Amino acid sequence: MSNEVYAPLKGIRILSFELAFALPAGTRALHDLGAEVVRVTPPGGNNFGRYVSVSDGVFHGKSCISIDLTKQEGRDIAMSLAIQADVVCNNFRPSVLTKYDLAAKVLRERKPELITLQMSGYGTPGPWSDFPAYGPSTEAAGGLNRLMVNEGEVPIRIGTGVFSDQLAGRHAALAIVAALQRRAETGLGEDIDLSMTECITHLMGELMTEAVVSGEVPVSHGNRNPERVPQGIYPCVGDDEWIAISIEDDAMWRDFVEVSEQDMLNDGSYETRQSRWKHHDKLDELIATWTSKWDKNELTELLQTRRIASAPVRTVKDSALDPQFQARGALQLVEHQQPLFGYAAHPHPPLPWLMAGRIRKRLTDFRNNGEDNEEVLYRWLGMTKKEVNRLEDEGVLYNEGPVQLGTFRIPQTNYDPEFGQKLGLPK
Amino acid sequence: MRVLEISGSSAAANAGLLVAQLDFQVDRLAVDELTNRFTEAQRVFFQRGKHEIERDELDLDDYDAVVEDVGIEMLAKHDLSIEEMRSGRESLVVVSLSDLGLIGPYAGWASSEITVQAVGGVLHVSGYGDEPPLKLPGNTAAMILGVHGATAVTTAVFGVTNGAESGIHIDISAQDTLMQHWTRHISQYAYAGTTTERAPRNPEGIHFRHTAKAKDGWVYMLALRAAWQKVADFLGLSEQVALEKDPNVQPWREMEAAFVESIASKEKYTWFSEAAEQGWTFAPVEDPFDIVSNPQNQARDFFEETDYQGRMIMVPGLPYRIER
Repeated sequence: MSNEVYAPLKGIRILSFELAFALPAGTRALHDLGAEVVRVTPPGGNNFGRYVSVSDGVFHGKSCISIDLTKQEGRDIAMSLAIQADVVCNNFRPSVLTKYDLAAKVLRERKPELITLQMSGYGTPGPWSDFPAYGPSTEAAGGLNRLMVNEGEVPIRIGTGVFSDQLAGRHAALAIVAALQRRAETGLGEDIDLSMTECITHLMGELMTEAVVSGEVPVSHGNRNPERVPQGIYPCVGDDEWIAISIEDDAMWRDFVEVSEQDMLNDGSYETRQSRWKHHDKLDELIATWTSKWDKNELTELLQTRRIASAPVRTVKDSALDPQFQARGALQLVEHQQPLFGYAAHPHPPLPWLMAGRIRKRLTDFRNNGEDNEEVLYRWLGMTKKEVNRLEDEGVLYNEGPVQLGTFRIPQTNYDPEFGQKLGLPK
Repeated sequence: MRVLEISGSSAAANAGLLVAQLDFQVDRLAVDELTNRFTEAQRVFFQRGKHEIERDELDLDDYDAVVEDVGIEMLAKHDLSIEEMRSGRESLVVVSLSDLGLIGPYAGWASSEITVQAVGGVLHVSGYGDEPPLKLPGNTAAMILGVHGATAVTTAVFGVTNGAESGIHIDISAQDTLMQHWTRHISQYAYAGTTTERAPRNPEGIHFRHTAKAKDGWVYMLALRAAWQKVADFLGLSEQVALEKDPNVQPWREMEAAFVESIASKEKYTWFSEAAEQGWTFAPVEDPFDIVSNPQNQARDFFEETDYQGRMIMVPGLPYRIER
């Protein structure tokens, strides 16, 4: 493999007024693909905590400038930067940039080939356009929570707090790159308005279509699947340790019975998929009794020797140690400018694609609010250090210097004192 | 941009759909044994905006990119191995989508949607703590993989168009892409040594329930960083609320009846809009039929009509509006 970094977006400039997780995840992806991304923060940063901003990893690699948009001079600088960009995006509520005279329409009057993207919980236009939203709200409104359960059951949200955010970020990256490609073909820019809720509904598109075709909300089978029987999440040795097993057909079932050496499963009434579906409760009980004596990784290895679809349920603790993730470089150690919480680097996922013969861009650390004022404003606008310092002194620009997390209090629930050693974190 | 889709699952099918919805040309290779893997509803959803092309009509020189999820053996069976496709076509982009990737110790594993969700993470923090982890609905992992597939195709072709790169083969796995959706939890452990556990099924009266029944359906209630007394006043629980600031340490057993009665007193959209006025992120819990008809999606023309056995039905369109 060559040591050349894959960078199809090399030369593309993106100016991003971003906060929280969703749009930052999208522009992180574009950064990983070679674009230059400058994130713009208000004085004091956004209202998200520094710790989460750093540990989420979605700001990594990007330059950061901090501008007070309530000041005319700040807005002038933002406009000048926008004119130098290929893409300007934001995930504020839709009315915010309009208030500062930086709405897409205004920007594209100045530069028609500019691509703009507005991301929000519900999108514009519409009566919910300016309603505030976090990712979990959009999962509920987009149909995910309801489709997790059946009629009469309490809808349930999935456990990760950034599911919808990551999805919307990925869609933002797609929409922007598609616009770049179209611009390369036509010379024209475009305005993109992305709804996080719609991204969730599109993700559920197969089930949405099933509902519309049948006239009924699709039945949730939980961990089961009528086409693959039995299928489930079964307990293994350890606290909250599990294995997923999914039997594709009768031949795989016979292999499973043979490899498990469980006489109780070798019953004529389980030979067909239909009969197994009928007795799923009983089968789950028998399988769980067997799996609960096994380590999840060892049992998976055994089942895979017969190509029986199975996998360990990865936990937060063992995910970073997963052999497949390690072989594919799915996590990179990101070195900090100075140690954070006693460690010189922490793992974060890079671009999750493998390019034949090429390598991925290495992630670099979080840049704090305004840390790159001088460098970016010189390179994009030709401003001198003296000018930038004057603007910082006058409060038009803001510079916090490198991030400090020393006094942050981390919640101590479910604490593992050996985590650093287990993950091999460098001091 | 012209893309060839060779799909046998939701992954490449979704990649092709998104690229087609973005107004680029997508041809799907018509092979019965692949087409038959899709349900009727899947075909209706995924086939929009694409052309079908037979193997004997196929000329790879007509394409900028290929996206496939059928695997090496199936490609070889149709004389479309990655090496054959890329041979002599320096600018061709080929994106391979698979459950676990084409390289690595799991590359040969047998897998399915649920096993990918298991080994990709997310699943362990979904469901209730006193029950097994709960699978996400439908083919969520494959659909997410499809979003990456569409992005990889478009980005790589742009790189060629832009002169920054030549053609390339990209290997993307559902395990890798799904893992990105719970990075906050991985980071939480790596930075702080703490883990998030699945909460037990919430019996009434134990702690604040974020999802409760409004007059006409369920409402999801989230008011991060809001003062609890203010939220309690808003929910009509001013008199019952205890002094503690944390909503989870209120006397919920005593408050339960008042809570249920209060939430049931208004429609879910009313709670939603009134909470929004407070700056809080409540949301209606929507089922598919709510989603088709709700005023926001109507205003955005999110759904598009498509033909299903002679009748027009509404299916999700592109999740972004584009003005050129």
